[in-house]
Amino acid sequence: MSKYFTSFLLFSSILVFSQEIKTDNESIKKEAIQIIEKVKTKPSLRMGFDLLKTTLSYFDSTIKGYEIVADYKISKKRYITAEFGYDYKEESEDYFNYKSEGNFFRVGINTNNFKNQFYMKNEIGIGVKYGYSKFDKTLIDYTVRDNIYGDKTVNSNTKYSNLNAHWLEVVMTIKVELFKNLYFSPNISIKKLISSKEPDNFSNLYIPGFGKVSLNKAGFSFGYTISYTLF
Amino acid sequence: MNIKFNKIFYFLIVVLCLQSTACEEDDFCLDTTTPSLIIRFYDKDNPEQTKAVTELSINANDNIVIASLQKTDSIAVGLNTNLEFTEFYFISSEKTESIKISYTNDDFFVSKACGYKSIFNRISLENSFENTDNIWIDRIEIIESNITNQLQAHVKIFH
Repeated sequence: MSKYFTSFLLFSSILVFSQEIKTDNESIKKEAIQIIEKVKTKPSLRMGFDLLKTTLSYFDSTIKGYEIVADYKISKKRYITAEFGYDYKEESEDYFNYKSEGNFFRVGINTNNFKNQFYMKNEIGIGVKYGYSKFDKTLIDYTVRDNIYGDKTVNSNTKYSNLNAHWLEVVMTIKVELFKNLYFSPNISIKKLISSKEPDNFSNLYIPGFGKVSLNKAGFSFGYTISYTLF
Repeated sequence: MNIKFNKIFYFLIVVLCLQSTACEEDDFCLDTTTPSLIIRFYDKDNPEQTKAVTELSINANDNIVIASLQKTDSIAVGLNTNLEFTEFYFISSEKTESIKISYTNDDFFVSKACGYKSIFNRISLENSFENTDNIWIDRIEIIESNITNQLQAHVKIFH
């Protein structure tokens, strides 16, 4: 008898427990959503580095540089972004060779426009940044074309110091969470120079942090960053 | 949602590829570079009037043929950017006169595609000939001593 009683007790307790789960389902769901919302709006800091620049520095002797990136979540969709870095680049044009070297920083706001399923943390963002660069340029050599008497090559090695540039850029970023808290993010940006200090008798064709400057003072670049959520 | 994410991702990649080619700047040099010396020939008896030279040929040092023309009243001759002077032999109807043009040289940045150009400052002329039978030039006048462009004549030769 006692044997039957025990099994009945066990069975009924399971029944009662499962009933409880059913009735509490709604409140648990609500609670879960609240927690997720809290997580989503919780301020968090993410830091990383530019993968492309670092990789190229290893394989290409004409490029040296790094870039540290960081973003801080201020609301559910918005981030404050900041980057700083160093850039060295040798450029070889048809009739002259030069190198640029300098430090730069960018600050801006990024918005995430991608609606994740509740367990995912991927992002597609569009952002606006302000950039500043302080750099030196060295004209290594140049050739004045002369079809009659032969070209004249001048090893000038002229250094133009303390040049600077201000610019604005629109950045489109995709952030994919590869592993927990580790993000891979390709980005493209369109840039426009606001002002720049030009060297005498030369031109800012390349600006560290900005990249190549086109005729209409615009620029375009892309990169890949790896970043990690610290908190 | 995943499909949308992928779509945007691939769209971005396509834009990226297109942009990186479309943004390449023109690499052809279309700007004016190092100017040539422009000479106009005038009538020695009527200085206001241009006078064409017949059978004109101009050689530079090292036997470089600059020009060989049947009849002309103006000509553009290139100056040597490697040196601070250029020696020319002006031959007209088998009469040869040598003209040495001296100058100082300055280089100016033009553009990414063209690089640098030279301009010639403070040109001076030295006219010499082997014997008096060879003279065909009466006198030479410098109008513009700084050669920065080719918009007008720099030197007048009267003959």
